[in-house]
Amino acid sequence: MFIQQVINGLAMGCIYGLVALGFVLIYKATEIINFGQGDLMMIGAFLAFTCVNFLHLPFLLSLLIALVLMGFLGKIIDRFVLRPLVGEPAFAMVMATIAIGILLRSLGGMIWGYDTYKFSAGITDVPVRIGSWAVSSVNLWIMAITVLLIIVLYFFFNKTKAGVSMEAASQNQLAAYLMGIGVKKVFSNIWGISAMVAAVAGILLTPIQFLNYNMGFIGLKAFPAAVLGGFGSIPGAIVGGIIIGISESLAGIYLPRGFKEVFAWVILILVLMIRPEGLFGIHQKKRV
Amino acid sequence: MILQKQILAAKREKLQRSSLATTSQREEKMVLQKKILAAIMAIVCLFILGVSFSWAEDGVSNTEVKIGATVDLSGPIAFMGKGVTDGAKLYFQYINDQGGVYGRKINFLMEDDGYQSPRAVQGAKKLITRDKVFCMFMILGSAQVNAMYPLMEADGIPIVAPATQNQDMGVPPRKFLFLADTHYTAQGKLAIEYIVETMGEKKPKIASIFQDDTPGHDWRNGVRHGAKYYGLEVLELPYKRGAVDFSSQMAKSKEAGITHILVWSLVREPAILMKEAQRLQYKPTYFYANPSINKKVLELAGDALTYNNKVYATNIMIDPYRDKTPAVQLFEKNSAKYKMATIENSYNTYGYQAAITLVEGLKRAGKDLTRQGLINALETFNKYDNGMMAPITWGPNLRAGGHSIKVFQAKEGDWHAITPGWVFSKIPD
Repeated sequence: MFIQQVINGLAMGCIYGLVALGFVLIYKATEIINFGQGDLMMIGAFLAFTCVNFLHLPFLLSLLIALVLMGFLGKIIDRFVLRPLVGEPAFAMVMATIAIGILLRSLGGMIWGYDTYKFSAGITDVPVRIGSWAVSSVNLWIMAITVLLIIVLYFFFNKTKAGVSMEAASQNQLAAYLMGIGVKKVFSNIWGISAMVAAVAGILLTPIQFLNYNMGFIGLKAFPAAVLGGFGSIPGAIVGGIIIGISESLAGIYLPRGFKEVFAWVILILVLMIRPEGLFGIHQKKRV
Repeated sequence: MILQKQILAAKREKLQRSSLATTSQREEKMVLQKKILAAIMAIVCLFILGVSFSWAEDGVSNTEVKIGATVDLSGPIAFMGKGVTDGAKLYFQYINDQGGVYGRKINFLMEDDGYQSPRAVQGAKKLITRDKVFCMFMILGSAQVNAMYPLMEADGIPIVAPATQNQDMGVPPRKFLFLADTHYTAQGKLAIEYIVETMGEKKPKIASIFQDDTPGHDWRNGVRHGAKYYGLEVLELPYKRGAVDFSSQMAKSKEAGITHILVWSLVREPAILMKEAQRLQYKPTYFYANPSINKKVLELAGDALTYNNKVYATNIMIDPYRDKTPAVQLFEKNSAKYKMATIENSYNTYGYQAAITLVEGLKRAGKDLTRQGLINALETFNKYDNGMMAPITWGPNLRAGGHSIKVFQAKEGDWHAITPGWVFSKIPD
């Protein structure tokens, strides 16, 4: 049972990690925490669902349409909500992202209703057996795609000019601007990318958790994963997610009732006490 | 000089006197006006009093009776609020076209509460002070009922058939609150009783999975009660509202060799936990409470159902597709005639049957309708069968009306009733 629970936790952890990735991307470039990330995920999944179930398009085309639309949505949010707030206190920006989340959730409910839907196109939920242990095929897909995304994003941020300029914009907006980096464009792009990652996470999640207007609440669990990994570190997000997933899964079995729900936060507090910058965080010092 | 001064003083005095005279005249005039006004007001008051004496009760006239409801029409369970009120409206429309109850047409007034208790209280205040409703009906949510109950108690306004199955709506009894549905505690108890008595499982290993809040706890208490009666142990595995991961609950159940899992959940959870069991190659028998009786549950579960089809549920209503009682036939006729509510929508049928129960109460209360009269009439309900819902018994100190269930089984992608009649409990409370 122990190993089965670890496998379950690993699967769940990858989901947290995938959602946390969206948090990390936006934070890395803009130093804003986007609390609407979970709701972006819901919108992305519903867009793909609409393409498949109502427009009767093939799954891959639907996925592509959803990604493009989400990219635009991300850019629109950046242009009309966050850009006017540049220079305002971080508090205002955070409040704005919370508002975006609530707005998207309400819009989702208005457009697609408050029902739960099954979205079985593309990836299906089939039990896969490894020896005497079992895991859902969806979880394997999630693990594979998450690893792929991490590799792609890691290279993007470290090896490409666009990625490095994002990193630069994150460290010092003014200096980056003076060095000829289009900070506005960088921010706009990162919102687009982050919304696309959210759509991928949403579509991957639906076979096991179904489509519902409030599925974005999983963002609440992904948030400690991002903090745990050191907000701003891409591999950190996924490791943080896995740690939370596994410990939660084991807490559900071996600890008294009720611990499962709070365990993510217990770990978070412990890690922050010992290593406040998170597991993979780099201790940054800003010179005056 | 002195003379002039004297003359001036005299003139002044005269002026003052005359002005005094006019003020006293004016005062007299005003007093008279006031008296007339008071007399008119007294007459108006007497008239109003007379009128209200002749009607005796708010919200009732010779041609109309006002019924109030607060439901969610814009919040998270707006689909339920719309569903149940649409069903009720259909029956009220039918009754009104038949000439109403003793010539009184039913005027059904709704307030949207967005599934929030404070807004439900505001809505209820508006309904009782401005609209002056005769009674409240179909309030969606037990928290909402509890929040507005003090208001209703103060004014003596009955709440009939709230759309909830929580035990505290009927136990302990509250004078003005009439719960029609079989509550979750009774359902949990009846589920165990059915497993032991009818399925013939003398020593089942029971686990109870429930949402960790009031309705879930009601179900847990019922399961505990039944298990204690038969001397069985229960493995209790609560989950938090909105949970999407049931791996630890299912792993624990499998490890403990649980044969029967009794679950209080909504629509999404059954599918997730049955899929988890399939992954673990684990085939227990499932028993759900009535909120999970929904086609959607089976649709979401998909191949987990073909893997294990031992899926049962306790229901408080009949199966309207296959059990064509006169009430169901009338529903279908009305639905076709008025183009409102459909039999496919279980919230519509639920709202419709609650309206039947209320109208029966109004009929039994007689021609001179009063609130106390309605309360007395409802207390005469003895296994009253409205043709769709578990028979209702209320009494002078009995407010939880439902005492029985039908057992449903998931077959061929739908829920089918497998008990012909209503199943009552033999276990004492």
